[in-house]
Amino acid sequence: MISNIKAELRKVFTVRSTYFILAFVLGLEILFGFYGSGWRVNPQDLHNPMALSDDVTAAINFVSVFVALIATLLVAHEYRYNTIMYSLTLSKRRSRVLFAKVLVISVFAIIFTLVAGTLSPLLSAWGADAHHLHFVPQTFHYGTLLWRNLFFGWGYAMAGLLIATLIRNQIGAIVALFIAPTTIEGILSLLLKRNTVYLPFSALHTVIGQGMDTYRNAITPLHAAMVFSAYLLGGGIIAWILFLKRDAN
Amino acid sequence: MYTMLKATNLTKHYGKKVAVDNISFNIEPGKVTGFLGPNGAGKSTTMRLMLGLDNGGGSTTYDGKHLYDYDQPSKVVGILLELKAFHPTRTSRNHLKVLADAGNIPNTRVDEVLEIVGLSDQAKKRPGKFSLGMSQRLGIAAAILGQPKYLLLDEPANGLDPEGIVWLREFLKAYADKGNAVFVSSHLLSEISQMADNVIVIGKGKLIANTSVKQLVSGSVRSSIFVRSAKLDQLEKALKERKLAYEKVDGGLKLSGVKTDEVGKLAFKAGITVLELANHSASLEEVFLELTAGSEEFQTRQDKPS
Repeated sequence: MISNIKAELRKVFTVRSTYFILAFVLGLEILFGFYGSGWRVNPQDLHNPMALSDDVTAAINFVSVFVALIATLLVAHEYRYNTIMYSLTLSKRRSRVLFAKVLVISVFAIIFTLVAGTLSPLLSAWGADAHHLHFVPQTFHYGTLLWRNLFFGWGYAMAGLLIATLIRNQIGAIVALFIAPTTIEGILSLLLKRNTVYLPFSALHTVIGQGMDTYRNAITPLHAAMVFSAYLLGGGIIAWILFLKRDAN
Repeated sequence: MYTMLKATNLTKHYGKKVAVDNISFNIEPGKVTGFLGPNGAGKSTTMRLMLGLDNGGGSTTYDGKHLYDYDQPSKVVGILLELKAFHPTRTSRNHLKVLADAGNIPNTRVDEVLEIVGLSDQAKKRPGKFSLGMSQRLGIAAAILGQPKYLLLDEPANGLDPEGIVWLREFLKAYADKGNAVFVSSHLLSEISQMADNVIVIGKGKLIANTSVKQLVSGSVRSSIFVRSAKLDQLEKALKERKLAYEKVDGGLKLSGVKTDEVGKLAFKAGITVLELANHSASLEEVFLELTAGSEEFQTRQDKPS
Protein backbone atom coordinates (compact mmCIF):
# COMPACT_ATOMS: atom_id res chain seq x y z
CA MET A 1 0.00 0.00 0.00
CA ILE A 2 2.91 2.35 0.77
CA SER A 3 4.19 1.87 -2.79
CA ASN A 4 0.74 2.79 -4.16
CA ILE A 5 0.64 5.93 -2.02
CA LYS A 6 4.12 6.95 -3.16
CA ALA A 7 3.09 6.46 -6.78
CA GLU A 8 -0.09 8.50 -6.38
CA LEU A 9 1.80 11.30 -4.65
CA ARG A 10 4.29 11.39 -7.48
CA LYS A 11 1.47 11.42 -10.01
CA VAL A 12 -0.04 14.52 -8.40
CA PHE A 13 3.20 16.46 -8.21
CA THR A 14 4.79 15.56 -11.54
CA VAL A 15 2.22 17.06 -13.90
CA ARG A 16 1.98 20.70 -14.90
CA SER A 17 -1.77 20.89 -14.40
CA THR A 18 -1.38 20.58 -10.61
CA TYR A 19 0.94 23.58 -10.48
CA PHE A 20 -1.16 25.61 -12.94
CA ILE A 21 -4.27 25.04 -10.88
CA LEU A 22 -2.54 25.78 -7.57
CA ALA A 23 -0.94 28.95 -8.96
CA PHE A 24 -4.29 30.06 -10.39
CA VAL A 25 -6.08 29.45 -7.10
CA LEU A 26 -3.44 31.24 -5.05
CA GLY A 27 -3.51 34.11 -7.53
CA LEU A 28 -7.26 34.40 -7.16
CA GLU A 29 -7.01 34.20 -3.40
CA ILE A 30 -4.48 37.02 -3.33
CA LEU A 31 -6.69 39.06 -5.65
CA PHE A 32 -9.88 38.45 -3.71
CA GLY A 33 -8.25 38.51 -0.27
CA PHE A 34 -5.72 41.30 -0.48
CA TYR A 35 -7.54 43.47 -2.98
CA GLY A 36 -11.24 42.48 -2.80
CA SER A 37 -11.68 41.91 0.92
CA GLY A 38 -8.76 44.06 2.08
CA TRP A 39 -7.86 47.06 -0.04
CA ARG A 40 -11.39 47.50 -1.41
CA VAL A 41 -13.14 46.27 1.74
CA ASN A 42 -16.79 47.17 2.19
CA PRO A 43 -16.74 49.81 4.98
CA GLN A 44 -19.51 47.96 6.83
CA ASP A 45 -17.29 44.89 7.06
CA LEU A 46 -14.66 46.85 8.96
CA HIS A 47 -17.11 46.93 11.87
CA ASN A 48 -18.09 43.28 11.59
CA PRO A 49 -16.21 41.13 14.13
CA MET A 50 -16.91 38.05 11.97
CA ALA A 51 -15.70 39.59 8.68
CA LEU A 52 -12.38 37.75 8.51
CA SER A 53 -14.00 34.52 9.66
CA ASP A 54 -16.47 34.89 6.77
CA ASP A 55 -13.52 35.50 4.45
CA VAL A 56 -12.13 32.11 5.39
CA THR A 57 -15.37 30.40 4.40
CA ALA A 58 -15.64 32.39 1.18
CA ALA A 59 -12.07 31.46 0.25
CA ILE A 60 -12.57 27.77 0.99
CA ASN A 61 -15.79 27.86 -1.04
CA PHE A 62 -13.92 28.55 -4.28
CA VAL A 63 -10.55 26.98 -3.48
CA SER A 64 -12.19 23.61 -2.88
CA VAL A 65 -13.57 23.47 -6.41
CA PHE A 66 -10.04 23.59 -7.78
CA VAL A 67 -8.72 21.01 -5.34
CA ALA A 68 -11.59 18.81 -6.55
CA LEU A 69 -10.40 19.48 -10.08
CA ILE A 70 -6.93 18.16 -9.20
CA ALA A 71 -8.59 15.09 -7.69
CA THR A 72 -10.65 14.61 -10.84
CA LEU A 73 -7.55 14.82 -13.02
CA LEU A 74 -5.68 12.30 -10.88
CA VAL A 75 -8.20 9.66 -11.93
CA ALA A 76 -9.24 10.94 -15.36
CA HIS A 77 -5.65 11.29 -16.62
CA GLU A 78 -5.12 7.59 -15.96
CA TYR A 79 -7.87 6.68 -18.39
CA ARG A 80 -7.13 9.41 -20.90
CA TYR A 81 -3.47 8.44 -21.22
CA ASN A 82 -3.95 4.71 -20.59
CA THR A 83 -1.61 4.67 -17.61
CA ILE A 84 -4.36 2.86 -15.70
CA MET A 85 -3.09 -0.41 -17.20
CA TYR A 86 0.25 0.12 -15.44
CA SER A 87 -1.38 1.17 -12.17
CA LEU A 88 -3.51 -1.96 -12.11
CA THR A 89 -0.92 -4.50 -13.21
CA LEU A 90 1.79 -3.16 -10.91
CA SER A 91 -0.47 -3.32 -7.88
CA LYS A 92 -1.34 -6.52 -6.07
CA ARG A 93 -4.97 -5.41 -5.71
CA ARG A 94 -7.07 -2.96 -7.70
CA SER A 95 -8.55 -1.65 -4.46
CA ARG A 96 -5.15 -0.46 -3.30
CA VAL A 97 -4.89 1.86 -6.29
CA LEU A 98 -8.23 3.45 -5.50
CA PHE A 99 -7.62 3.73 -1.76
CA ALA A 100 -4.19 5.24 -2.35
CA LYS A 101 -5.83 7.91 -4.49
CA VAL A 102 -8.43 8.59 -1.78
CA LEU A 103 -5.74 8.86 0.88
CA VAL A 104 -3.42 11.11 -1.12
CA ILE A 105 -6.23 13.44 -2.20
CA SER A 106 -7.62 13.55 1.34
CA VAL A 107 -4.29 14.67 2.79
CA PHE A 108 -3.73 17.07 -0.11
CA ALA A 109 -7.20 18.60 0.31
CA ILE A 110 -6.84 19.00 4.07
CA ILE A 111 -3.41 20.62 3.83
CA PHE A 112 -4.43 22.95 1.03
CA THR A 113 -7.66 23.90 2.80
CA LEU A 114 -5.64 24.76 5.91
CA VAL A 115 -3.18 26.82 3.90
CA ALA A 116 -5.90 28.65 1.96
CA GLY A 117 -7.99 29.17 5.11
CA THR A 118 -5.02 30.63 6.97
CA LEU A 119 -3.93 32.86 4.10
CA SER A 120 -7.35 34.36 3.47
CA PRO A 121 -7.81 36.47 6.67
CA LEU A 122 -4.13 37.43 6.66
CA LEU A 123 -4.38 38.73 3.10
CA SER A 124 -7.60 40.64 3.88
CA ALA A 125 -6.10 42.25 6.99
CA TRP A 126 -2.89 43.05 5.11
CA GLY A 127 -4.82 44.56 2.18
CA ALA A 128 -6.93 46.74 4.47
CA ASP A 129 -3.89 47.79 6.45
CA ALA A 130 -2.08 48.77 3.24
CA HIS A 131 -5.02 51.07 2.51
CA HIS A 132 -4.92 52.45 6.09
CA LEU A 133 -8.16 50.69 7.01
CA HIS A 134 -8.58 48.57 10.10
CA PHE A 135 -11.00 45.86 11.09
CA VAL A 136 -12.55 45.88 14.51
CA PRO A 137 -11.18 43.13 16.77
CA GLN A 138 -12.18 39.88 15.12
CA THR A 139 -13.81 36.80 16.58
CA PHE A 140 -12.92 33.31 15.35
CA HIS A 141 -14.81 30.23 16.51
CA TYR A 142 -11.84 28.06 15.71
CA GLY A 143 -13.42 24.68 16.33
CA THR A 144 -16.48 25.37 14.17
CA LEU A 145 -14.47 27.16 11.53
CA LEU A 146 -11.98 24.32 11.33
CA TRP A 147 -14.31 21.32 11.08
CA ARG A 148 -16.80 22.96 8.74
CA ASN A 149 -14.19 24.23 6.29
CA LEU A 150 -12.03 21.14 6.44
CA PHE A 151 -15.06 18.97 5.86
CA PHE A 152 -16.10 21.12 2.91
CA GLY A 153 -12.63 21.09 1.34
CA TRP A 154 -12.20 17.36 1.86
CA GLY A 155 -15.77 16.60 0.78
CA TYR A 156 -15.49 18.55 -2.47
CA ALA A 157 -12.22 16.78 -3.31
CA MET A 158 -13.81 13.40 -2.63
CA ALA A 159 -16.75 14.36 -4.82
CA GLY A 160 -14.31 15.14 -7.64
CA LEU A 161 -12.56 11.82 -7.17
CA LEU A 162 -15.88 9.98 -7.05
CA ILE A 163 -17.23 11.63 -10.20
CA ALA A 164 -14.02 10.87 -12.11
CA THR A 165 -14.00 7.24 -10.96
CA LEU A 166 -17.58 6.81 -12.10
CA ILE A 167 -17.35 8.70 -15.39
CA ARG A 168 -13.66 8.05 -16.23
CA ASN A 169 -13.78 10.38 -19.22
CA GLN A 170 -11.78 13.53 -18.45
CA ILE A 171 -13.99 16.09 -20.15
CA GLY A 172 -17.15 14.40 -18.92
CA ALA A 173 -15.89 14.30 -15.34
CA ILE A 174 -14.85 17.97 -15.33
CA VAL A 175 -18.14 19.06 -16.85
CA ALA A 176 -20.05 16.99 -14.31
CA LEU A 177 -18.00 18.46 -11.46
CA PHE A 178 -18.85 21.99 -12.52
CA ILE A 179 -22.49 21.60 -13.56
CA ALA A 180 -23.69 19.21 -10.85
CA PRO A 181 -23.56 21.72 -7.98
CA THR A 182 -24.86 24.67 -9.93
CA THR A 183 -26.95 23.78 -12.96
CA ILE A 184 -28.32 20.36 -12.01
CA GLU A 185 -29.01 21.03 -8.35
CA GLY A 186 -30.12 24.57 -9.26
CA ILE A 187 -32.79 23.20 -11.58
CA LEU A 188 -33.81 20.54 -9.09
CA SER A 189 -34.20 23.23 -6.43
CA LEU A 190 -37.14 24.61 -8.41
CA LEU A 191 -38.94 21.37 -7.65
CA LEU A 192 -37.52 20.45 -4.29
CA LYS A 193 -37.61 23.88 -2.62
CA ARG A 194 -36.33 23.48 0.96
CA ASN A 195 -35.65 19.78 0.36
CA THR A 196 -32.88 20.83 -2.01
CA VAL A 197 -30.69 20.70 1.07
CA TYR A 198 -30.80 16.91 0.79
CA LEU A 199 -29.00 17.00 -2.56
CA PRO A 200 -25.27 16.27 -2.18
CA PHE A 201 -23.65 19.54 -3.17
CA SER A 202 -26.40 21.64 -1.58
CA ALA A 203 -25.84 19.72 1.64
CA LEU A 204 -22.11 20.27 1.35
CA HIS A 205 -22.58 24.02 0.88
CA THR A 206 -24.90 24.07 3.89
CA VAL A 207 -22.02 22.77 6.00
CA ILE A 208 -20.22 26.09 5.54
CA GLY A 209 -23.41 28.17 5.53
CA GLN A 210 -23.31 28.86 1.81
CA GLY A 211 -25.83 28.05 -0.89
CA MET A 212 -29.27 29.32 -1.79
CA ASP A 213 -31.48 31.18 0.68
CA THR A 214 -34.30 28.70 0.09
CA TYR A 215 -32.56 25.89 1.93
CA ARG A 216 -29.52 27.35 3.65
CA ASN A 217 -30.84 27.05 7.19
CA ALA A 218 -33.17 24.10 6.62
CA ILE A 219 -30.88 21.75 8.54
CA THR A 220 -27.87 22.23 10.79
CA PRO A 221 -24.32 22.02 9.38
CA LEU A 222 -23.80 18.75 11.23
CA HIS A 223 -26.91 17.20 9.67
CA ALA A 224 -25.85 18.55 6.29
CA ALA A 225 -22.44 16.91 6.75
CA MET A 226 -24.19 13.63 7.51
CA VAL A 227 -26.37 13.95 4.39
CA PHE A 228 -23.33 14.56 2.22
CA SER A 229 -21.43 11.72 3.90
CA ALA A 230 -24.28 9.35 3.09
CA TYR A 231 -24.03 10.27 -0.59
CA LEU A 232 -20.27 9.92 -0.47
CA LEU A 233 -20.49 6.51 1.17
CA GLY A 234 -23.13 5.21 -1.23
CA GLY A 235 -21.41 6.67 -4.27
CA GLY A 236 -18.06 5.49 -3.00
CA ILE A 237 -19.24 1.89 -2.68
CA ILE A 238 -20.67 1.97 -6.21
CA ALA A 239 -17.49 3.53 -7.58
CA TRP A 240 -15.36 0.96 -5.77
CA ILE A 241 -17.35 -1.98 -7.13
CA LEU A 242 -17.23 -0.55 -10.64
CA PHE A 243 -13.50 0.10 -10.31
CA LEU A 244 -13.04 -3.58 -9.50
CA LYS A 245 -15.42 -4.96 -12.09
CA ARG A 246 -15.11 -2.78 -15.14
CA ASP A 247 -12.64 -3.30 -17.95
CA ALA A 248 -9.72 -0.97 -17.41
CA ASN A 249 -10.03 1.26 -20.44
CA MET B 1 4.42 -26.09 -10.08
CA TYR B 2 4.24 -24.92 -13.70
CA THR B 3 7.22 -22.90 -14.85
CA MET B 4 5.36 -21.21 -17.61
CA LEU B 5 2.55 -18.87 -18.40
CA LYS B 6 -0.64 -20.84 -18.79
CA ALA B 7 -3.69 -19.19 -20.30
CA THR B 8 -6.78 -21.34 -19.98
CA ASN B 9 -10.17 -20.90 -21.67
CA LEU B 10 -9.84 -17.16 -22.16
CA THR B 11 -13.19 -15.79 -23.26
CA LYS B 12 -14.53 -12.31 -23.77
CA HIS B 13 -17.90 -11.16 -25.05
CA TYR B 14 -18.96 -7.65 -26.02
CA GLY B 15 -22.71 -8.04 -26.00
CA LYS B 16 -23.43 -10.82 -28.49
CA LYS B 17 -20.08 -10.47 -30.21
CA VAL B 18 -17.45 -12.96 -29.13
CA ALA B 19 -14.09 -11.19 -29.08
CA VAL B 20 -12.08 -14.06 -27.60
CA ASP B 21 -13.47 -17.55 -27.90
CA ASN B 22 -12.22 -20.04 -25.34
CA ILE B 23 -8.53 -19.74 -26.12
CA SER B 24 -5.91 -21.76 -24.24
CA PHE B 25 -2.16 -21.79 -24.69
CA ASN B 26 1.12 -21.89 -22.82
CA ILE B 27 4.10 -19.59 -23.08
CA GLU B 28 7.43 -21.09 -22.18
CA PRO B 29 10.34 -19.31 -20.54
CA GLY B 30 13.49 -18.99 -22.59
CA LYS B 31 11.54 -18.44 -25.78
CA VAL B 32 10.03 -15.64 -27.80
CA THR B 33 6.43 -16.44 -28.68
CA GLY B 34 4.85 -14.51 -31.51
CA PHE B 35 1.17 -13.70 -31.37
CA LEU B 36 -0.37 -13.25 -34.77
CA GLY B 37 -3.80 -12.46 -36.07
CA PRO B 38 -5.54 -10.10 -38.45
CA ASN B 39 -6.89 -6.76 -37.23
CA GLY B 40 -9.76 -7.33 -34.84
CA ALA B 41 -8.77 -10.95 -34.23
CA GLY B 42 -8.73 -10.37 -30.47
CA LYS B 43 -4.99 -10.19 -29.81
CA SER B 44 -5.07 -7.11 -27.59
CA THR B 45 -8.17 -8.32 -25.76
CA THR B 46 -6.46 -11.66 -25.13
CA MET B 47 -3.45 -9.87 -23.66
CA ARG B 48 -5.70 -7.71 -21.48
CA LEU B 49 -7.51 -10.82 -20.26
CA MET B 50 -4.18 -12.42 -19.40
CA LEU B 51 -3.41 -9.42 -17.19
CA GLY B 52 -6.82 -9.14 -15.60
CA LEU B 53 -7.33 -5.72 -17.15
CA ASP B 54 -10.50 -6.90 -18.86
CA ASN B 55 -13.06 -9.02 -17.13
CA GLY B 56 -13.95 -12.18 -18.98
CA GLY B 57 -13.87 -15.93 -18.71
CA GLY B 58 -10.88 -18.15 -18.12
CA SER B 59 -7.73 -17.69 -16.15
CA THR B 60 -4.04 -17.05 -16.58
CA THR B 61 -1.37 -18.33 -14.25
CA TYR B 62 2.25 -17.32 -14.12
CA ASP B 63 4.37 -20.21 -12.88
CA GLY B 64 1.24 -21.72 -11.39
CA LYS B 65 -0.02 -18.63 -9.58
CA HIS B 66 -2.39 -15.86 -10.52
CA LEU B 67 -0.85 -12.43 -10.90
CA TYR B 68 -2.67 -11.14 -7.82
CA ASP B 69 -1.14 -13.94 -5.74
CA TYR B 70 2.27 -12.35 -6.14
CA ASP B 71 3.41 -9.73 -3.65
CA GLN B 72 5.31 -7.90 -6.36
CA PRO B 73 3.62 -8.36 -9.75
CA SER B 74 6.20 -6.03 -11.33
CA LYS B 75 8.76 -8.84 -10.99
CA VAL B 76 6.45 -11.26 -12.78
CA VAL B 77 5.11 -9.44 -15.81
CA GLY B 78 6.04 -6.33 -17.77
CA ILE B 79 3.67 -4.91 -20.33
CA LEU B 80 3.48 -2.72 -23.38
CA LEU B 81 -0.11 -2.68 -24.55
CA GLU B 82 -0.89 0.79 -25.82
CA LEU B 83 0.92 3.35 -27.90
CA LYS B 84 1.95 6.44 -25.95
CA ALA B 85 0.67 5.23 -22.59
CA PHE B 86 2.08 8.11 -20.57
CA HIS B 87 1.08 11.56 -19.41
CA PRO B 88 2.41 13.92 -22.09
CA THR B 89 3.74 16.53 -19.67
CA ARG B 90 5.28 14.19 -17.10
CA THR B 91 8.96 13.74 -17.96
CA SER B 92 10.19 10.35 -19.09
CA ARG B 93 12.13 9.88 -15.88
CA ASN B 94 9.17 10.87 -13.72
CA HIS B 95 6.86 8.61 -15.72
CA LEU B 96 9.13 5.68 -14.98
CA LYS B 97 9.57 6.77 -11.37
CA VAL B 98 5.80 6.67 -10.91
CA LEU B 99 5.78 3.12 -12.23
CA ALA B 100 8.82 2.21 -10.12
CA ASP B 101 7.05 3.52 -7.02
CA ALA B 102 3.89 1.60 -7.85
CA GLY B 103 5.84 -1.59 -8.51
CA ASN B 104 8.08 -1.22 -5.46
CA ILE B 105 11.13 -1.05 -7.70
CA PRO B 106 14.18 1.03 -6.65
CA ASN B 107 14.31 4.37 -8.46
CA THR B 108 17.90 3.66 -9.45
CA ARG B 109 16.52 1.20 -11.98
CA VAL B 110 14.86 4.08 -13.87
CA ASP B 111 18.09 5.48 -15.28
CA GLU B 112 19.27 1.97 -16.09
CA VAL B 113 16.28 1.20 -18.29
CA LEU B 114 16.45 4.61 -19.95
CA GLU B 115 20.01 3.79 -20.92
CA ILE B 116 19.04 0.31 -22.15
CA VAL B 117 16.41 1.73 -24.51
CA GLY B 118 18.61 4.64 -25.57
CA LEU B 119 16.59 7.42 -24.01
CA SER B 120 19.06 8.66 -21.39
CA ASP B 121 19.32 12.06 -23.04
CA GLN B 122 15.52 12.32 -23.11
CA ALA B 123 15.08 11.62 -19.40
CA LYS B 124 14.10 15.18 -18.53
CA LYS B 125 12.02 15.70 -21.67
CA ARG B 126 8.26 15.59 -21.74
CA PRO B 127 7.22 12.64 -23.90
CA GLY B 128 4.16 14.38 -25.36
CA LYS B 129 6.14 15.33 -28.44
CA PHE B 130 8.10 12.09 -28.74
CA SER B 131 8.06 10.33 -32.10
CA LEU B 132 6.30 7.00 -32.29
CA GLY B 133 9.64 5.21 -32.11
CA MET B 134 10.76 7.10 -29.01
CA SER B 135 7.39 6.48 -27.41
CA GLN B 136 7.75 2.78 -28.06
CA ARG B 137 11.20 2.81 -26.50
CA LEU B 138 9.76 4.48 -23.41
CA GLY B 139 7.03 1.83 -23.35
CA ILE B 140 9.66 -0.91 -23.54
CA ALA B 141 11.58 0.78 -20.72
CA ALA B 142 8.41 0.66 -18.63
CA ALA B 143 7.90 -3.00 -19.46
CA ILE B 144 11.39 -4.09 -18.37
CA LEU B 145 11.52 -1.81 -15.32
CA GLY B 146 10.94 -4.61 -12.82
CA GLN B 147 13.08 -7.12 -14.77
CA PRO B 148 10.00 -9.33 -15.04
CA LYS B 149 10.09 -12.97 -16.01
CA TYR B 150 7.29 -12.47 -18.53
CA LEU B 151 7.08 -9.71 -21.10
CA LEU B 152 3.76 -9.08 -22.85
CA LEU B 153 4.24 -6.69 -25.74
CA ASP B 154 1.54 -5.59 -28.14
CA GLU B 155 3.01 -4.42 -31.45
CA PRO B 156 6.28 -3.17 -29.91
CA ALA B 157 7.93 -2.64 -33.31
CA ASN B 158 5.30 -0.13 -34.43
CA GLY B 159 6.95 3.13 -35.33
CA LEU B 160 10.51 1.93 -34.80
CA ASP B 161 13.05 2.77 -37.48
CA PRO B 162 15.09 -0.09 -39.05
CA GLU B 163 17.86 0.37 -36.50
CA GLY B 164 15.26 0.30 -33.74
CA ILE B 165 13.68 -2.85 -35.11
CA VAL B 166 17.02 -4.64 -35.21
CA TRP B 167 17.73 -3.45 -31.68
CA LEU B 168 14.32 -4.65 -30.48
CA ARG B 169 14.75 -8.05 -32.11
CA GLU B 170 18.17 -8.58 -30.56
CA PHE B 171 17.02 -7.24 -27.22
CA LEU B 172 13.97 -9.51 -27.01
CA LYS B 173 15.95 -12.57 -28.09
CA ALA B 174 18.60 -11.80 -25.48
CA TYR B 175 15.89 -11.21 -22.85
CA ALA B 176 14.36 -14.61 -23.60
CA ASP B 177 17.79 -16.28 -23.60
CA LYS B 178 18.15 -15.29 -19.95
CA GLY B 179 15.31 -17.65 -19.12
CA ASN B 180 12.50 -15.15 -19.48
CA ALA B 181 9.42 -15.51 -21.66
CA VAL B 182 8.58 -12.92 -24.28
CA PHE B 183 5.10 -12.84 -25.76
CA VAL B 184 4.92 -10.40 -28.60
CA SER B 185 2.13 -9.59 -30.99
CA SER B 186 2.93 -8.05 -34.31
CA HIS B 187 1.68 -7.43 -37.79
CA LEU B 188 5.27 -7.37 -39.00
CA LEU B 189 5.40 -11.03 -39.87
CA SER B 190 8.95 -10.83 -41.10
CA GLU B 191 9.90 -9.60 -37.64
CA ILE B 192 8.13 -12.45 -35.90
CA SER B 193 9.74 -14.98 -38.22
CA GLN B 194 13.17 -13.60 -37.33
CA MET B 195 12.74 -13.41 -33.58
CA ALA B 196 10.08 -15.89 -32.48
CA ASP B 197 10.62 -19.52 -31.58
CA ASN B 198 6.93 -20.30 -31.24
CA VAL B 199 3.89 -18.71 -32.71
CA ILE B 200 0.26 -18.50 -31.73
CA VAL B 201 -2.20 -17.52 -34.45
CA ILE B 202 -5.74 -16.39 -33.76
CA GLY B 203 -8.55 -15.28 -36.02
CA LYS B 204 -11.99 -13.99 -35.08
CA GLY B 205 -11.18 -14.75 -31.46
CA LYS B 206 -10.41 -18.41 -32.07
CA LEU B 207 -7.09 -20.20 -31.78
CA ILE B 208 -5.90 -21.20 -35.25
CA ALA B 209 -2.38 -22.42 -34.61
CA ASN B 210 -0.06 -22.88 -31.65
CA THR B 211 3.25 -24.33 -32.71
CA SER B 212 6.87 -23.53 -33.46
CA VAL B 213 7.59 -21.18 -36.35
CA LYS B 214 9.61 -23.93 -38.05
CA GLN B 215 6.80 -26.46 -37.90
CA LEU B 216 4.24 -23.92 -38.96
CA VAL B 217 6.17 -22.92 -42.04
CA SER B 218 7.23 -26.43 -43.06
CA GLY B 219 3.70 -27.75 -42.63
CA SER B 220 2.23 -25.19 -44.94
CA VAL B 221 0.75 -26.29 -48.26
CA ARG B 222 2.70 -23.43 -49.74
CA SER B 223 6.00 -25.11 -48.86
CA SER B 224 7.38 -26.81 -51.96
CA ILE B 225 10.52 -27.93 -53.71
CA PHE B 226 11.94 -26.74 -57.02
CA VAL B 227 13.86 -28.95 -59.39
CA ARG B 228 15.60 -28.02 -62.64
CA SER B 229 17.15 -30.41 -65.13
CA ALA B 230 18.56 -30.42 -68.66
CA LYS B 231 16.28 -33.42 -69.33
CA LEU B 232 13.05 -31.99 -68.05
CA ASP B 233 10.85 -34.22 -70.23
CA GLN B 234 12.43 -37.36 -68.81
CA LEU B 235 12.08 -36.01 -65.29
CA GLU B 236 8.41 -35.28 -65.88
CA LYS B 237 7.93 -38.82 -67.14
CA ALA B 238 9.64 -40.27 -64.06
CA LEU B 239 7.49 -38.16 -61.76
CA LYS B 240 4.32 -39.22 -63.56
CA GLU B 241 5.28 -42.85 -63.14
CA ARG B 242 5.64 -42.25 -59.40
CA LYS B 243 2.30 -40.36 -59.47
CA LEU B 244 3.89 -37.19 -58.09
CA ALA B 245 2.08 -33.98 -58.96
CA TYR B 246 4.08 -31.05 -60.28
CA GLU B 247 3.73 -27.81 -62.13
CA LYS B 248 6.08 -26.14 -64.56
CA VAL B 249 7.59 -22.91 -63.34
CA ASP B 250 10.59 -20.83 -64.39
CA GLY B 251 12.17 -23.54 -66.53
CA GLY B 252 11.82 -26.14 -63.81
CA LEU B 253 9.24 -28.09 -61.85
CA LYS B 254 7.56 -27.23 -58.57
CA LEU B 255 6.40 -30.06 -56.34
CA SER B 256 4.47 -30.01 -53.10
CA GLY B 257 4.25 -32.63 -50.40
CA VAL B 258 7.48 -34.32 -51.31
CA LYS B 259 11.02 -34.10 -49.97
CA THR B 260 14.15 -33.16 -51.91
CA ASP B 261 15.76 -36.53 -51.01
CA GLU B 262 12.96 -38.40 -52.74
CA VAL B 263 13.18 -36.38 -55.94
CA GLY B 264 16.99 -36.59 -55.94
CA LYS B 265 16.96 -40.40 -55.64
CA LEU B 266 14.29 -40.63 -58.33
CA ALA B 267 16.35 -38.57 -60.77
CA PHE B 268 19.51 -40.56 -59.97
CA LYS B 269 17.79 -43.88 -60.64
CA ALA B 270 16.41 -42.53 -63.94
CA GLY B 271 19.88 -41.28 -64.92
CA ILE B 272 18.71 -37.68 -65.12
CA THR B 273 21.17 -34.92 -64.39
CA VAL B 274 19.74 -32.49 -61.88
CA LEU B 275 20.95 -28.89 -62.19
CA GLU B 276 19.05 -27.48 -59.24
CA LEU B 277 17.11 -29.02 -56.38
CA ALA B 278 15.94 -26.71 -53.61
CA ASN B 279 13.41 -26.41 -50.84
CA HIS B 280 11.08 -23.47 -51.02
CA SER B 281 9.67 -22.83 -47.55
CA ALA B 282 6.59 -20.69 -47.35
CA SER B 283 7.23 -17.39 -45.62
CA LEU B 284 5.48 -16.80 -42.35
CA GLU B 285 3.47 -14.20 -44.19
CA GLU B 286 2.21 -16.76 -46.67
CA VAL B 287 1.35 -19.18 -43.88
CA PHE B 288 -0.35 -16.45 -41.92
CA LEU B 289 -2.51 -15.50 -44.89
CA GLU B 290 -3.26 -19.15 -45.52
CA LEU B 291 -4.28 -19.78 -41.91
CA THR B 292 -6.29 -16.63 -41.41
CA ALA B 293 -8.07 -16.66 -44.75
CA GLY B 294 -11.66 -15.71 -43.99
CA SER B 295 -10.82 -14.71 -40.42
CA GLU B 296 -10.27 -11.06 -41.15
CA GLU B 297 -12.55 -8.76 -39.21
CA PHE B 298 -12.22 -6.06 -41.82
CA GLN B 299 -12.29 -7.26 -45.40
CA THR B 300 -11.11 -5.05 -48.22
CA ARG B 301 -12.31 -4.93 -51.81
CA GLN B 302 -10.70 -3.52 -54.88
CA ASP B 303 -12.41 -0.73 -56.71
CA LYS B 304 -13.33 -1.69 -60.23
CA PRO B 305 -12.00 0.74 -62.80
CA SER B 306 -14.84 2.75 -64.30
